[in-house]
Amino acid sequence: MIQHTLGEFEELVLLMVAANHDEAYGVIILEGLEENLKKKVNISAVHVALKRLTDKGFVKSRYGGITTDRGGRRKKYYSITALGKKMLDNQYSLRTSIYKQIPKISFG
Amino acid sequence: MKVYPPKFAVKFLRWFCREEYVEEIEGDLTEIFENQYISSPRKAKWKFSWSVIKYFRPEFIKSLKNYQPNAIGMYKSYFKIGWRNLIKSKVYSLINISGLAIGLACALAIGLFIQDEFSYDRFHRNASDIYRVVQQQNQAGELYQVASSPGPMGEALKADFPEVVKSCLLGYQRSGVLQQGTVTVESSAITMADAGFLKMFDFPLILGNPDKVFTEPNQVVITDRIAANLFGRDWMSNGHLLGKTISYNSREGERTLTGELTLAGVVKEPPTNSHLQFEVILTFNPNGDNNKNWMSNNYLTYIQLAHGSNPADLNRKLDGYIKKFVSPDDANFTKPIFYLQPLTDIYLHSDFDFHTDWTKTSNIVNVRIFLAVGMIVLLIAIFNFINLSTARAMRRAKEVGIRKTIGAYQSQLMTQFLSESFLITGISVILALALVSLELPFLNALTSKSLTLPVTEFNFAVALLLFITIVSLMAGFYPSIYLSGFQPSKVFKGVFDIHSGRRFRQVLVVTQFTFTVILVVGSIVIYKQLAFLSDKNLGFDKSQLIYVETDNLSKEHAQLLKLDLQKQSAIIGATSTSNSLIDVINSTLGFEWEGKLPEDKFVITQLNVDPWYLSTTGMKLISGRNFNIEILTDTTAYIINESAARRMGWTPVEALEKSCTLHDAKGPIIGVVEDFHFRPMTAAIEPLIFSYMPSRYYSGIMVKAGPNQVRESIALIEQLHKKYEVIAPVHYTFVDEQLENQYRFEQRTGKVVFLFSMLAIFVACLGLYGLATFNAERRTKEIGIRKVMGASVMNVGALLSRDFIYLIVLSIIIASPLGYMLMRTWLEGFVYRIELDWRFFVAAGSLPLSVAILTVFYQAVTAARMDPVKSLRSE
Repeated sequence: MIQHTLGEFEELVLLMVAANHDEAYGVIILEGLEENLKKKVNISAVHVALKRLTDKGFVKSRYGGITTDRGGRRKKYYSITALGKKMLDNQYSLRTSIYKQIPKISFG
Repeated sequence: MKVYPPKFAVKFLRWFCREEYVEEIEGDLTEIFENQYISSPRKAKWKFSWSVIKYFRPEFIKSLKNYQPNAIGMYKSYFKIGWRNLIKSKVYSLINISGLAIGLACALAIGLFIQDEFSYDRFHRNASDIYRVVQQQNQAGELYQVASSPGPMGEALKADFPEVVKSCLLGYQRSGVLQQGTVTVESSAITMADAGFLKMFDFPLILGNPDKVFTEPNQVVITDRIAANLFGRDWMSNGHLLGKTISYNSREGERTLTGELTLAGVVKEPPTNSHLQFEVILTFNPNGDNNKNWMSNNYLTYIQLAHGSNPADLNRKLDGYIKKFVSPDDANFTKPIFYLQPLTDIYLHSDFDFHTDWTKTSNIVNVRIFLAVGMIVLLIAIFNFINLSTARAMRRAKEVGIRKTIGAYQSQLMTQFLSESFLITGISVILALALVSLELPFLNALTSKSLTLPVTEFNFAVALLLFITIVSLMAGFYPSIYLSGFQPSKVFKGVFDIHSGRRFRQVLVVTQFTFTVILVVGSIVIYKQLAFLSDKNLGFDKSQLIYVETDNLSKEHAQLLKLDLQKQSAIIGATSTSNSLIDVINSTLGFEWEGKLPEDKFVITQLNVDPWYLSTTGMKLISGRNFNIEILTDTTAYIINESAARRMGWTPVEALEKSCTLHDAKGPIIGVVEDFHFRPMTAAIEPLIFSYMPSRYYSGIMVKAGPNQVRESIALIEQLHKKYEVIAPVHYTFVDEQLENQYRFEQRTGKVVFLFSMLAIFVACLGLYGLATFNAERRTKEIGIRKVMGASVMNVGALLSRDFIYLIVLSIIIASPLGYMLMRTWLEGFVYRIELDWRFFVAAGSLPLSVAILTVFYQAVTAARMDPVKSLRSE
């Protein structure tokens, strides 16, 4: 199996998907990111990231029901897969372990 | 309220985006759009479109592999069907293609010509910031446009106005001889320039430093071609060219310029599309020339403005600026209004008086006429296409019906017919390119240009493709709508209105022939006017008149040469003169006369001649006598022309013995000559005065050769000139040729209009032939029945051609007033001109009419001669 990597933005999107479990779709993710990052994010970037995450098997998707909103288009909900969760865990533990190795530096 | 995102953006997204993503992307985008719409509808729309564009990336674009494979096949089929239709009806295809090819060739050739005309002076990097300072002068109440300006102008402007960043001064030199060792080179393209010249204009130096050139007096810069002439072909390999001395020799009027010049640089020859043409550039003499004088307007001043500054601002500041330097009370003050002429306007938009613009210029009017004429021929060809396609629509009706029944949209059928017109235009363009490359040498001879087809250039290919597209759209748009609009139910029932679109076709035919008739009127009028100009009695005898320049000779030598020439038996007369009689503009306000009112002033043209002038040129005295060499006081006497006498309020007889003063030299009027033309026919004959002052300037000798002895005379002139001047060759011109040459633009226009009017007749009649053929085919049965009933071939022929003849007569009726107005405007440019005669219009109308009658009637008679048995049997 090819060892997939996770880009910085992809990681953020994946976190967002995990946070909004089974309720995450494009606009929710976008708004969540904009709120947390305090900057404008383009929807196309989100979609590209979601597409890549899907290709890598970190997220899976399903379509919601038909509504009259959104020009009649269905929402595409994303949820994180086990592989995605494992990836996030790995990433998290890797970072914390390195973080702990930082000696106490004073920036006074 | 329901809001919708921009329709076009949505369509675009659905078009390119993969199906599996459209749902999500469009949904999300729409949701964002709806949220944002509440706060700012405009921003929401803009953002939506922008986001859509951002999705235009490989991840989301439909794969090409499974991209509508049918569409390409469909286009293939369109072209195949189109091709088969072309082959099936060879006559119509031939008419369409050859007509279009001729029209396109005309348009292409004219396009090349115009592109060249508009390319002038645009190669300078700062072309858009460079201006020439020109002026409008007021002389005795008349306004004159003058291209030149006082010498100190440029420097003064640069000092006074911060937006003027560079200035450059150019001076005129007639011709001169350069000598280096034993090699001499004569050049008639000499310009004087200051140090600003090479800094402002992009004439690259091959040798020399642009910052150092012309910083010292007596420097010279030559072009690479002159360098090759002076120093041999391998001048480049000579390392010590700079600083070499070249001796220079030139006589400018009464002044002689000789000197040792230092070579300061070698400049690349200016491109042909530069209005400044030169071979040798000289420096101004800091003391000798009067380039510091504010009263002499002998120089061309160019200035460069800081990038982005508005010339209109400077124009306003120039108003009255001259008063800072020149007192308005000066008698010679011409109340000049200085203004800026953009560099890129100079070539096409210069019409200055007194020959003050000695640079290379053309004429925008000619360019416009050429453009119009070229477009007309193209339009006629396009109309042919439209006419034939719609007239023959019946033949395609069943095809359209079936395609529609199977499920074709109208837009698809339109695409089909447009692709057919694209096919035909494409073939025509290839033919047109071949035609243009054949006719280019001819066109180049006509326009004295060296145009080539830039087939290898990318821009040209793009322009050509654009051109094909536009033409095929113009030609194919109406037919495609017309053809694709058929209703299958009607077509199959056989209900087909044969008259549908007939009115439209008639309008097109009338338009075609109206244009054609106007073109023919134009060429007839131009031809007649030019014939009138060359046949008009000028007031002197221009035949065998040769003007010999004597600027290379000293005054004494010139007099001796004249005396030598007078002794020759092959030569009837020789006379000293201050002008060549071609467009004499040496005029002055410094003229007073007996009984003049203090405020009365007019511009008088002056010629300094000698007693042999009238006999040599064949001018006639109306009253008084000629100058006499034996009467010593005649050197202060004057002869005037009729117009001058009239202007001063005298009859030719009254004028005699009246005294007048020219440039402070007072003398009596001893004779009055009949008016003669000393300017082109675009100007009226104005007052003129002859003086006989041997001490003053003579520019040349006018020689009258004996009949059939022109060649001997030329040989004699060359031989005798050599006696007095060894280095410089003699320069002579034939007065009649030079007179003709004044109208070369008009002659060129006449030739082009004539050529194009012939092409227009040909193309229009080609279309007519097609229509007539079709018409006869359609009425085969009718003709058969008529013949059975006893109609003669002539009856039927007349019946078939009648409709077309009406149309053409209608065109002539419409074209005549239009042509009359157009040509009257053109003729107004001439003071002496022909009257527009009704016969011109009859002639102009009858030419296309007779060709059209021949075409239609031939076709009608062929149809009428058919055996009725054959045409009626088929049912």
